Amino acid sequence: MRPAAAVLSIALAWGALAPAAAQLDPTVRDALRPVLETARRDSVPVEVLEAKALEGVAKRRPTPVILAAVQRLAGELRDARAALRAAAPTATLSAGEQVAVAEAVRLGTTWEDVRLLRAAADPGTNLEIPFAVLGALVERGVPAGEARAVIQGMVKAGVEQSRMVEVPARIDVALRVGAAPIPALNSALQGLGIPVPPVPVVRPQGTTERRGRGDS
Amino acid sequence: MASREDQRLARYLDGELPPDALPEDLRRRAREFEALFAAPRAERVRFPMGFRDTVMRRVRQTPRARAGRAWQWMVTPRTFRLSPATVALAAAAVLALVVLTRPGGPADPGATVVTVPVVEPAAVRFVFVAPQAVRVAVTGGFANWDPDGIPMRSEGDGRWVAEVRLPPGVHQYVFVVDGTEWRPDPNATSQVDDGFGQQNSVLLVPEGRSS
Repeated sequence: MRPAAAVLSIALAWGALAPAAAQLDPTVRDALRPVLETARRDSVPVEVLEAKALEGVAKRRPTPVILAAVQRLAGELRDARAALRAAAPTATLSAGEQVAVAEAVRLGTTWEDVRLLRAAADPGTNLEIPFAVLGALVERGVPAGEARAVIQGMVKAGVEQSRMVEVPARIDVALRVGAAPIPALNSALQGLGIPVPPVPVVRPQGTTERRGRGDS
Repeated sequence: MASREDQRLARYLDGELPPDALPEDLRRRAREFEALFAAPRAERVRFPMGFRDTVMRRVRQTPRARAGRAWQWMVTPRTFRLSPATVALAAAAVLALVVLTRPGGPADPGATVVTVPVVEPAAVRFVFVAPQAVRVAVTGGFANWDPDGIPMRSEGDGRWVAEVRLPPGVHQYVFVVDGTEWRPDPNATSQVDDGFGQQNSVLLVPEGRSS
């Protein structure tokens, strides 16, 4: 049975470190192994962590820096997964969706808005692109709650992703000519013909005014 | 419920009581029972010649249920002789099956089983302006972060261009100038911290985009 045992060991080692990680330097690979094993136990998408390690190697970062980046990303993905799972226990969670959530949160989206968006959508709907657009809106200064409401409206209305991904660039155009983020968002929605109610503009005095489209 | 007499009669027939322990009426009933039991023994059934062989031949010809045959095969002790190489190959095949069918970790208790839709890659055009560059490549998760990545072609006015087919989703990328300088795309949808002190650009490839 010795040949079988040898094959077993090789296969197990190979299984513990999937193909992408096999391209890593042995030092990085050994340091990474416990992180990947823990991630795998937690159902965190390991291939994303392996890609991050590869990126660190390609950018010639030292092993401790790579390890720290991978550990941080693993923590973010674990948090993203927990938030998504809490909001939609039966939803199918793709690796891309978890990454998009982690990035959106890094850009300023709140966990509460993540939960609300996931809970409002059909469990079978992949929200990778919507979460990424949410992060892009928040990055452009749109408050997270308003940005989430707009994305939620687009998902509910069945807006095509091809139009959804155009929103950030349209906002950029309005921002460049001096519009504030919310009017810029409303302008972008109008310009793309997206059937989502315009976001109410909150004035400094605290009064709320619902403005028509094209006010930017 | 059996009567007291019936119980005594039963004990007699079981050999627990002698005949003289029964009263006359029970002894008479006991004799009737004994005569009844003795009748089949007295009239032995005689089967025609070859009857047993005919029956057994028919039994052997009756096809056994597949499950029954499988069970019989499983429970019958057998000796297998296999070479170590055969065992190794079989173990490798089983392990490959396990590894290849694993989506990336242990089964997710809350996950639902879904059919992954076939998604068409979309043609994406990367453009980067670097008038002083000798060579520029675009790299990212889609190129395993290879610094040589996907070479871009110069359009002569400092613009570098590459067309890549990418699957729908969120992609991180950067441009690599002259093999050493990693630069984000100033026109990207988003820039995110790469975890190494720099920024990666984010590209959104929507589903259903015409390629």
